[in-house]
Amino acid sequence: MVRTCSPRALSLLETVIALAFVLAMLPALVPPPQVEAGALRERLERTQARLIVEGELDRAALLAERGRLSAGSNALSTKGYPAGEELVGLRLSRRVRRAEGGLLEVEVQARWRCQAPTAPDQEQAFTLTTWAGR
Amino acid sequence: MRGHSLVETLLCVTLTGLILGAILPPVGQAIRARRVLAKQASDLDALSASADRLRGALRRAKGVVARAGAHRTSASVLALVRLDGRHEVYRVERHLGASWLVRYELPARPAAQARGVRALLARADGLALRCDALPVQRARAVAFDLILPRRLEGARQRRLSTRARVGGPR
Repeated sequence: MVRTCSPRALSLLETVIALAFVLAMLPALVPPPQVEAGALRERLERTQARLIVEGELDRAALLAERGRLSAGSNALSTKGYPAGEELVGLRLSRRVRRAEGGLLEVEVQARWRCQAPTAPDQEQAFTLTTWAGR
Repeated sequence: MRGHSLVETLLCVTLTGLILGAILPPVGQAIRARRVLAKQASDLDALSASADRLRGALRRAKGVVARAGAHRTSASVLALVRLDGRHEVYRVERHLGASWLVRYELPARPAAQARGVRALLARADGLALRCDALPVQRARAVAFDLILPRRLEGARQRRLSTRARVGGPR
């Protein structure tokens, strides 16, 4: 047996219910602002870490020019960087190795615990390497 | 097709009102939050680029100078002399109700009261400078903080901190 559906006009109540569904679904289509806030927090932390690491590379270059940089690894102070207070558990380290041509290969790394809700308490690292010497 | 009764119409109007009342406030809040986040993201990009620009200016400079025209180097004003002898000054100033990181360009021998040509670089609530030596002309490195604009009332002050050497290898 074949049933046929005859088209009929929507009642006012049905229209309101349909409209309510559409309106309720609209916010669900866009991700909540917390996701964007988390991504922004991550970006802020990485930018802060990058600028601190670049600052330490500059310091290392100056030390190398003065002959006061030797091979080895050591932890660095974060005191000179007020933005470092925002990076929870920030640790800075520098590793210096001898490279060709009398230069030194300097690697500076920042490690911290991310405070963004997108990666809560995950350890993050940012590393840059350069060559320094006289 | 039949007409709607008064009860039906009232029920529909009430339902629509309730739905709109429930949905619109969080949607409005989300739109406002998104707008603030977009401004904060834009501030971060602009200030991060300005920090790089300032580091570059320091590395290309011949040195820090005590004064350039009407500007004096201090904890919040940085005056540099470039390799070509011209001067550059970086400071935070109010412009149209907002504070901006600005750069002034001055000629090689600026008049005592000359302010130079101003360029707005990025929105910033502050610039804090620390030279590694005094007088400032002896500085080989300058540490600085750029304070991000506070977009929300009562929000925490956020900053970008870095340091840069003055001049290239000598």
